Amino acid sequence: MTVWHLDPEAIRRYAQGIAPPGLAASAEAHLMKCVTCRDAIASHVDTRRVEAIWHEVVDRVDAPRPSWPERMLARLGVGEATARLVAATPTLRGPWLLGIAGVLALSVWAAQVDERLLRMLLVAAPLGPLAGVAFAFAGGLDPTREIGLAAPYSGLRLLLIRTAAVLAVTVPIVAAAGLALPGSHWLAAAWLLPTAGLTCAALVLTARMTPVVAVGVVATAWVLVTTPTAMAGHLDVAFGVGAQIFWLAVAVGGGLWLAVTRNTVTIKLGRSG
Amino acid sequence: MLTRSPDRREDAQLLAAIVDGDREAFAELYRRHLPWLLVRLGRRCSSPELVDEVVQDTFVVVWRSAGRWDGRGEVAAWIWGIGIRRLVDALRRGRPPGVELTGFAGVERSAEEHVLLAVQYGDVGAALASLSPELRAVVQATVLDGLTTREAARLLGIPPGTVKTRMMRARALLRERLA
Repeated sequence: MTVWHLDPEAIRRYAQGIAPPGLAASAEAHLMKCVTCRDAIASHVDTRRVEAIWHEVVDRVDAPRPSWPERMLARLGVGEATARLVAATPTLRGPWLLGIAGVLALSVWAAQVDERLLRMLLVAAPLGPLAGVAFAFAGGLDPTREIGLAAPYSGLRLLLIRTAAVLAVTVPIVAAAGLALPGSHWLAAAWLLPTAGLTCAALVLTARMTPVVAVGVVATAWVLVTTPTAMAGHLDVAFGVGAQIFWLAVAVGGGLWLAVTRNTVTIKLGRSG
Repeated sequence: MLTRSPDRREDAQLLAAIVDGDREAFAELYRRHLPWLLVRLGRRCSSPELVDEVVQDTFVVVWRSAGRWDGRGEVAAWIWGIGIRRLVDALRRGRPPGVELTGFAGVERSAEEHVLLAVQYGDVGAALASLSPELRAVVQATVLDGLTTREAARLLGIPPGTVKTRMMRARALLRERLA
C-alpha cells in the first residue's frame, strides 16, 4: 500500500475539475494505484448520477445479446429490425444448412458415378433455394409467424427480405456443389437463371396463395417439365440458350410486376391472411 | 442496491467472480470504480451526457469481457484502458461541433499556484506545467492516458501527424527544462 495520499483539498479540486494540470496528472497517476484515494473521490460524485448509470448498465447487461449473424448484419449497416428478421428465418439455422450441404455432397458423389444422375442434379439444383424460401414461411417453423401476421409490417417487404437472405446463403452452397461436378463448368452455372426465374414466379404467385403453396406449384411445374426431357438427354430444352433467355425474362418480368404492384398487392404470408 | 456492507474481496477476485456471473461482485466493482472513471473521463470531454454513455458502455464491456483481463497490473488501469478507448470511439463516431476538451486547455491558474505547484511536484511537474496547453494535451494523451498516436489524434480532434510533431516538440522542451 502507498503511504502517501492525496490531501482532501486536492481530491476535491480534482473531482470538481478545477485542479491545475500538474496536480491533475499526478492525481490520476496516483489514483490508479490507491484504493483509499479512489474511494475518497466517490463522495464528490453525484449519487443520483451513479445510480442512474448503474440502472442503465444493468438493463443492458440483462438484455439478451444479439446473435452472431445479427451482429454481423448490423455491422454491415443493416437496420436492427431487419437484422432480427433475417436472423429469425428458420431456413438460415445451422441444421437446415447442414442438411442442404449434406444432400448436395451426396448428389455430387452420385453424379460422378452415373451421368443420368448428373442431369437429375441440374433439375434438382433450383429446388434447394426454392425449398429454402418456402420453409422460411412454413407455419410451424417460423418463430416470428404470429407476430408477422399481427404486425403492421409490409408483407411484401418481409417476403423479399427473407427470400434475399435465403438465396444469399443457399445459392453459394449449391454453386460450390456445382463446381465439384464432372464435365464442363457452364453446367455449374446453368441452374442460376432458372432459379431466379422460378423464385420470381413463386413470389408473384404469393399474391394469390401462401408462399409454401406458391413454391410448391412452381417447383412441381419445373419438375414435371424438365425431368422427362433431362432424362431423355435433351438438356438444352431446360438449360440451353433459349431456356436461359426465357428464365431471364421471367425473372425480370416477375420483378417488374412486383415493383409495379408493390403498393396494392396483398401478400398472403399465412393461411389466415 | 449500491449501498451494502463493504465487500472484502480484492478487485482481481471480483473480476474472477464476474466471469462466473456474480452480479454482487459486479455491483461492488462498479461502486469502487465508477466515481473516479466518471471524473477522469469528465476531464477529457465537456459533455456529461457523452461521458455517462461512455462509462455505461465501459461497464457493460467489463461485465462481458471480465475474462479477458490478463491478471497483470491494476484492475483500475484495465478499466481505464477500456474507458478511454470507448471515449475515443464515441468522439470519432460523431464529434458534435462545440465539444471541446477541458483536459488541459483553459484552466486558469494564478502565478502563486504555479509556483506552489512547481515546489510541490518538483522539476517534472514544473516542466510539464510550463508547456503550452496544446503540447501538454498531447503529452497527457500519449504518456499519461496510454493512448497510441492515432487514438490520441481522435481524442484531441487533430491529425495524427500533428500529434507526432507536438510530441516531438514537447519532448525537446522537457529535455531542455530538466537538463
